[in-house]
Amino acid sequence: MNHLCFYSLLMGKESKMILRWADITKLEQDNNMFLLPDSIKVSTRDASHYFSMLLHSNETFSIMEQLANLAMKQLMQEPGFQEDKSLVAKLKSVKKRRRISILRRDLDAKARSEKFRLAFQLPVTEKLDSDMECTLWAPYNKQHIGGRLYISNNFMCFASKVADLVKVTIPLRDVSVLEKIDNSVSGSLINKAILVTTKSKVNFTFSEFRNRDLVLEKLSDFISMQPIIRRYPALLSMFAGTENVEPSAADRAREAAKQHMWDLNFAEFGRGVSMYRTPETHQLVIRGIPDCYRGEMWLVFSGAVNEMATHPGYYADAVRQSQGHPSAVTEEIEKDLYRSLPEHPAFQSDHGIGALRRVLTAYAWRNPTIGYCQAMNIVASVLLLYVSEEEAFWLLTAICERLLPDYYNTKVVGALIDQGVFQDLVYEHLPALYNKLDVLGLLNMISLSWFLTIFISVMPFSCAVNILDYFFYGGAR
Amino acid sequence: MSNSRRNSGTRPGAAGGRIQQAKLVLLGDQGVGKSSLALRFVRGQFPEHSEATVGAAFLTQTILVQGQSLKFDIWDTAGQERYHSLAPMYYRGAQAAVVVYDINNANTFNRAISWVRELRQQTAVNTVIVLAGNKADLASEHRAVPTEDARVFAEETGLIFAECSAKSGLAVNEMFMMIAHKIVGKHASPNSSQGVQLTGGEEASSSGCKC
Repeated sequence: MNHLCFYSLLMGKESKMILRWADITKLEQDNNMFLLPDSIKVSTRDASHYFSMLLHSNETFSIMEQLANLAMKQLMQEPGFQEDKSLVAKLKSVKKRRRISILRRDLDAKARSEKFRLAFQLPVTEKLDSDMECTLWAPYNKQHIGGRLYISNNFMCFASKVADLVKVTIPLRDVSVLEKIDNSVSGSLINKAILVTTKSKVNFTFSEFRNRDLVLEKLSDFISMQPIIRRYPALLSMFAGTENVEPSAADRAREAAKQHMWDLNFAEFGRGVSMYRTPETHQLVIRGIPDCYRGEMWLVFSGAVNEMATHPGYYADAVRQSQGHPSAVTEEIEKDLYRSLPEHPAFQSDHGIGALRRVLTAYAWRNPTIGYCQAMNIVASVLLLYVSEEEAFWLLTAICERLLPDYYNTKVVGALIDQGVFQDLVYEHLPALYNKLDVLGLLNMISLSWFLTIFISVMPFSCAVNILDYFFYGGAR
Repeated sequence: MSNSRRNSGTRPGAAGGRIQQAKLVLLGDQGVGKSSLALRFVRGQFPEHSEATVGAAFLTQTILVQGQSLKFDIWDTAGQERYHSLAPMYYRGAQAAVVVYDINNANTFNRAISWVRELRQQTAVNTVIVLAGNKADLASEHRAVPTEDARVFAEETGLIFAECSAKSGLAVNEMFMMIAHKIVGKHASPNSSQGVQLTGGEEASSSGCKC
C-alpha cells in the first residue's frame, strides 16, 4: 500500500528493491525502449528505475498511478482526518499477488465514487453503488432525455448524455413514493419506467431501464435504510436589512427582475435539492442569484444542504463542545473577529461577532487538522450575511473539505498549488503580462489572497458574491 | 542571498533627478498592527475597522530624504503562523524589515525575537532591521513588554528600536524616516555609517549573522 517492492531471483542472484510511494516523483509508461519493451519508468527524487516484461503492463501501470496519487493525497492531508478507513483496511488485506485484481477493483471504485461526488456535490462519505443508462422525462419541454442514473447509499442522481443539458440530484431521504409505471404519461409513450415522488410532491419519471426490477430493488433497499429526519424550520438570515446603504432604484429594479426570472425558473424546473439543473439555471447563476434566494441556492448548489440534513443537531453539539476551551486556535480566532468584513454593520455588533465566533470555533473543533486559518474568517463572515449560523457552518465545511480541500490546512498547500496553476495559465495566455510581472517578481506574492478568500478580498463586494454564486454552482473545477 | 540591493536600482525620476527604490517588509505576529502601521505611514490614517491581512498586501510611499526621492515598496505580510513558510518570498532581497510586536502582549515579543533571528540568518548583513513595539497608546494600562527589555535586545542584535502607535501616529513617520536615512546613506557610500541611529546599534550590525 505504501511501498512499491520488487523481488527477483535471477540465476541464483537475488535482488530486492523497496520504494515508498511518497518518494516517487514521476511515473511513465514507455513502449519505445529498444531493450525494454513495455516498461514502466519510476522516478524518485534521486534515482529512476525501469520495470519491464510485466505481464499486464497497462493494468499494473494504472494501479501504480492510483496508488502513487493516493500516497500524494495522504501526504497533503496530513494524517488523521478524512482517511478512507475502509479502503485502507481493505488494501492492507490485499497481500497476495493473485489478489491484485481486488486491489484494482477497489481503486477503480474509489476513483468512480470520487468523480460521482464531484459531479453532484455530494458528501465525502457517499459511495457510488451503481449506474445505468436510462432516460428522464423533462416536463418543462416534454421530452425524454437520455443519460445515466447514478445510485449511492443516500442519493439518486441523473446526468444527461449531452453534457450540461440537465442534472438532477434526489436525496433518497426525500423520496416518498417509488413505483413502476407502464402506461403513458402526458400522452407520450414510456417504457419500463419508474416514477419517483418526493415529499414535496414533485414527480420524476425515469424510463428505458434495461433491468428495471434490479434498479427498483436497489432503490427501495437504500430508501428503507434512510434515517428518519426531524425537520428544522428554515431560519431567516439574521442580518437581513442591516445594511446602512439604501439600495438605489436601479439596483432594486435589477434585483426584482432577477427575482422574477428565478421565480419562473423555480416554477418550471422545481426548487430545492432535486430541482432540474439545466442550461437555463446555469445562465441564471452566471447573471447572479438575487439576494433573497442567494443563501438558499448556495446551500442547494454546494450540496451543504445534504450534509446539514443528515446531521441534525451536529452544529449545536459542536458549538456546545467547543465553547469554553481557550487554546491557541481560539486566541487566533479572537484576534480576527473584529477584522472580518469590519465595514459591515453586522460585524460591528455583538450579534454578528458572536455568530462568527461560534461558527469558526465549532469548525476548528470539527476539524483540528485545519483548525483556523486566516481567510476563513472573511469567507465565513460573507456566508453569515446570507444564511443562518448553522447553514454557514455547513457551507464552510463544504468549502474546506469538498470544494477546496487542502486550502486551509497548516501549509495552505491547495492554495499554493492553484496559484502555481494560475501562474502557468498567465504564462500561456497572457505572456506579455507574465513577463512584466515576472521581472517584478510579483505574481506569486499578490495572488495568494485571491484564492484563499475566493476573491472576496480583492473585488467589490457585489462582484465577489457573484463569483461565490458560480463557485457553489459549478464547484472549484 | 547576499545581494540586498537587487531591487534598489536607481532610475531617473522627476524630483531631484533620481528616485531610489527600496523594498521593505513588515513581519510580526497576528494582530500586532503591521497593516495599520503601513497605512499610517502611507496614508496618514488609522482605520478603525481594518480587515485581517490574507497572504500579503502591497503599498508604496515615496518620501524625500537627504534631497533624494526614496520610494518604499512595502510588503505587508499576514501574521498567522501557517503563513510563515511564505515569508521568505517577501523578505528576500528586502533592504529593510520592520518586525512588529504588541507591547501589551509578551507572546508577540517572543515571536518578534524569532523573526529577528530568522532575518539575521536569511538576509544580507546590511539589511536594515527595525524592532517596532506598536500600540504604545495603550501602554499606561496594559503594557506587558518593558521598554528596557526590548531596547537591550535591540542593542545586542544591532536593530533600530522604536515604540510607536499606529493609532495615535506616535513615532511612526520618524521610524520610517530613520530607515530611509539609513538606506540612502548606505547607497551613497556603502561602507560609511552616516545613517541616523536611534539606539547606536550600528557597531553590532554584523554580529550574529551567518551569511
